[in-house]
Amino acid sequence: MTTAPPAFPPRRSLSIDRTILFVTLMVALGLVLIAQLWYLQVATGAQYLERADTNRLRVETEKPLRGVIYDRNGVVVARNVSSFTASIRPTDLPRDRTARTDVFARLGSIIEMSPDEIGKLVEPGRVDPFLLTRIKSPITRERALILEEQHTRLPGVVVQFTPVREYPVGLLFGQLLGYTGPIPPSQVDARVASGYGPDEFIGLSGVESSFEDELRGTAGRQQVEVDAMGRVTNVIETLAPTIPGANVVLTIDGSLQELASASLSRGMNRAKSQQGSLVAMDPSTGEILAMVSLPGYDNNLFATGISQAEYSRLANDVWRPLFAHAIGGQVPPGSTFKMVTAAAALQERIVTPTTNVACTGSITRNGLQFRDWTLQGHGPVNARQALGVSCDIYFYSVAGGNPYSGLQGLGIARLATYARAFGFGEKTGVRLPGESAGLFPSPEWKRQAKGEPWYVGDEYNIGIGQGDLLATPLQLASMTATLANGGTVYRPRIVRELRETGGATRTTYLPEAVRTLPVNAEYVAAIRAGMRDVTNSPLIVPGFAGTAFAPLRTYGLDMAGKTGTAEFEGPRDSKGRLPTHALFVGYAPASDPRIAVAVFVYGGGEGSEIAAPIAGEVIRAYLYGVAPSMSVDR
Amino acid sequence: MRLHVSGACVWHEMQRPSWRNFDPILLAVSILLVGYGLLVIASATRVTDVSTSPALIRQTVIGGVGVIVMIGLSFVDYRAIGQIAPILYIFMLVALVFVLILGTFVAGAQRWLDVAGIRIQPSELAKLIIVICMARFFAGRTKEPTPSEVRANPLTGMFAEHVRTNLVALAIVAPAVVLVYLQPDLGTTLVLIASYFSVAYFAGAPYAILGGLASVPLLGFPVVWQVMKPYMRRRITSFLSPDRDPLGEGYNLIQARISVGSGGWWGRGLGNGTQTQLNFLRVQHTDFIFAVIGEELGFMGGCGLLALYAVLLWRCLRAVHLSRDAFGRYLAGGVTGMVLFQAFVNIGMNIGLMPVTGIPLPFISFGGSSLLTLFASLGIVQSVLVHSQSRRYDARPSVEVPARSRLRAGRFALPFIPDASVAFPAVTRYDRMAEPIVGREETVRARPPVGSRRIPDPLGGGGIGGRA
Repeated sequence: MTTAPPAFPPRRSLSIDRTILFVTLMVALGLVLIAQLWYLQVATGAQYLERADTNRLRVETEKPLRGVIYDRNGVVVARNVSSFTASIRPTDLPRDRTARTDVFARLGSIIEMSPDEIGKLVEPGRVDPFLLTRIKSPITRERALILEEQHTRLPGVVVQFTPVREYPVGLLFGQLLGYTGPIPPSQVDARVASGYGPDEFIGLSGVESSFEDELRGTAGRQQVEVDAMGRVTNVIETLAPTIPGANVVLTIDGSLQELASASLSRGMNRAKSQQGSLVAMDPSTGEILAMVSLPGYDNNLFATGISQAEYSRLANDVWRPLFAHAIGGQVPPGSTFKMVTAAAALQERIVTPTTNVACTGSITRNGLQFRDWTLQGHGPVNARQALGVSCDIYFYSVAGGNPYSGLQGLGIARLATYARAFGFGEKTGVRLPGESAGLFPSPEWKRQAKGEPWYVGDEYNIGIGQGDLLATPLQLASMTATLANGGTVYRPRIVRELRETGGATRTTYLPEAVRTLPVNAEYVAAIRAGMRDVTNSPLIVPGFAGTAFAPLRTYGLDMAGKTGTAEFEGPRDSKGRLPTHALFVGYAPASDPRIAVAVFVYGGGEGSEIAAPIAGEVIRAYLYGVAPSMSVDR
Repeated sequence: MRLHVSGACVWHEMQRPSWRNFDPILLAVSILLVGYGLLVIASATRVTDVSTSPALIRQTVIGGVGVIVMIGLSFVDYRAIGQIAPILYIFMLVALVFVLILGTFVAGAQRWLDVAGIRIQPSELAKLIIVICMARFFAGRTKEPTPSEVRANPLTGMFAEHVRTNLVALAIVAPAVVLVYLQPDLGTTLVLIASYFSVAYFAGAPYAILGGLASVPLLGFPVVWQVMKPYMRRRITSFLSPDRDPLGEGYNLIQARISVGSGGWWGRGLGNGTQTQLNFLRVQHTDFIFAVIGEELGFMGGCGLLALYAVLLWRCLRAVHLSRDAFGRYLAGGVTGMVLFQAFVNIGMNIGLMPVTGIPLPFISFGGSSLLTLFASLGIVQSVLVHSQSRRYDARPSVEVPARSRLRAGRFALPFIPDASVAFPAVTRYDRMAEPIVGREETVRARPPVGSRRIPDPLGGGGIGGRA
């Protein structure tokens, strides 16, 4: 062996050494890989399976179709029409900043927005990246189709088909129906918690708002599988069915609403008034047949998103077209309140129906003179006559006492009891947003609010519906309806029933009697007689006809009513008199009333002259047929 | 093994390529791997309304071409390929420069050249060319220290020679590395460096040098960090904490992990992986294809792939072992190391062990340039098996540089000057190697007398300082 040295040992040893080491390294690396594979797939595999499911599974809400709104005759007053919205789900946008900007630019060029603007809308931290953020709505159908075509180049962009509201007779029903719009930022959290999508529209005013829950229906929820682009590839399970919103049938008579609106508008023109409201109710059920506030607005403006300029114009208008004056406006009821004073005085035995109070044109009390509307006076008048001629002295006397006859007045406390029974000073509870309670003043209120003591004069003023007393037109209509039906206060209602999509009735709202007046029927009858005289009697006391006899004579209606001419603090006229609102409340037919109306015309002057004819027209139209209306039926 | 007992072969058989040595298992396993890849690509690129995706068709065609290339290259004597190494090297550099000038940008990197409508990735081919050049270089750097040299400085002289050799090798690799890095393509850059390491390793470079070089980026990390391109830094930070930016840089890592993890033991079934089919997993038919395997075929599918790689690498190592000359050994070794490195780094990246680098999974990832390069590499390995015993070459290093000519050229001569015959001498000098191959006596005769070898060559044949 020494003479024959090994030929290959060095080579073999190198080759083998290095090969063995290489194999060792290979096996080690392989084992590392297998160990990690085992760890990921076997040891913690379940966790990753869950994460994979989190990736692909999403719960999608399917928005229900909003209910349609009909008037009581089945005429559609709010419906859905299709509109397209471009939205972005930020989580599906490209991760890469430049690619993302590309998407914004491409989208922007199609929907005519700047990429920066779009970028701002979906800024991280501003919106939930997993939810759709509305970028532009509405977009035209053509643009929607282009976006759909290019969807592979627009990751994260989603075109939504969204139904939007359309109001066929917008201007007539503006404040009444209200409108829908994006959820206000302050409400988003609460709404989302109760199942709304943050981009959803909700009712923001009127019936759209107060019947939001019924109109919206129930959103369906589906477990879906989505791909990395956020597109639904598969519906896995329906978690909750989509229940479309209920169709709402209003108590409003569309034709009457239109006629009332026209009449009120004409009356206001005559009086050069800028604002007026009218409420017509069915006295036996509390259903509101017509409710008009002028000026109004077309709620179609809001349906697809109102422009800022347009909105400012409406919001800054001093006559407040967005405001439902009929339920929210607080006005001095003036003489229309006298029925309440009369009812209280009769029931509290201050006077009997036959007790006469001498009206001499004025009462002087504590050195202050309280005048009747006519300085010559009406002479002795009983309750019925006092209502018929709207004698202020009579009501001063029964409310605050008469120093000449020694008649003890009701005093504010007892008057308040009855006023409250009629619904003054509190909301009627009509299911509409924005109702006001009105104001029935009390000595405490006066002390606190005005820092003044209570005077007998306050009682005098309140007795004739003046002073600090404020009521909404709806409250006046409700009072009238209460008298018309003999003493039951029904809660005013705006919706008759809810219907399923198919037409079947889901819910019928029944008349809700809030209370019965604590007034004997004979006294109510006396008051009703006085109201009937207002419109029908050519001669109540010598020289005086019913205050609304002359203007309503030609209408040939068997109606009862009461005029009101309420002073308010405003620029005085040339004779130093305060300006007055024109009011009228009334019902018809007088014997079996089917409609009760309250009319208010801001600064309208005489109630008999301006407000009474409006009420007359509305009542006549309702009772004897309304000419077929074109706009409502279109 | 067969080759080692082939000393019994008769003379005339040795004169021809030994086709019996063609490795059918290597061929089979490479076809199996491509088939596996096609299956996964089919699933990853599935489109609902098209039965066969264009990517699948393309990969199938290229796979077929690749098999032909592999068999074809096994007909070519690998030493002939070694002979044209300088040309390949220059061709590679030119192509890489062209890429930087004319290349097509895809996803922010300039890696592709459009040639006659075909998009090729020269950096893939560079991986193989670097292996060839390194193999030739190291095979040519055999040196026998003279006794006086050894006496003068027995250890230092050897080691210094090794250091010099490896520095020159690095200098050869450097231009390609820099050009690829500029594309930028960190993954291929690393593969090129790994190719150098593989060849140097099999060429017997001391562990101290290999370890020292490997630790340079670790020790010099602050400097490396400065040199790295921003996207590379982001990849490292996102590797360390992917959840910091789960929708940005960390996204792919996280999704790949989820994909692999959700596969479980047996996977969710081919075509049923939600991560893959719903595209949560990105680049799923290329860099992240292993995550598809993990998701749809599970732990078993992943281990099956590893087993295929194990067989492939085993057959390549077998070629290293059977090769009768240094060049062949280095070639086969370099290819083995290159494939191992790519497979490990790619799978490691898919399962969260490595940062994201654009390294394809060998034979599996979609990509023509990569697949063809790999088949060509295996073809060369087959060539080593087939040709290394042929009559005309003996077991001595086929590209041995005689000490004389090296001295003439100078120790630090630039290797690839146009007239490469000096610094980069002819691959073979056939006339000098007409000795029998396996006959021990003859081989020993070709060696210096044992007595003169005071220092036993620690590296053995082929490496620097020794010869086979």
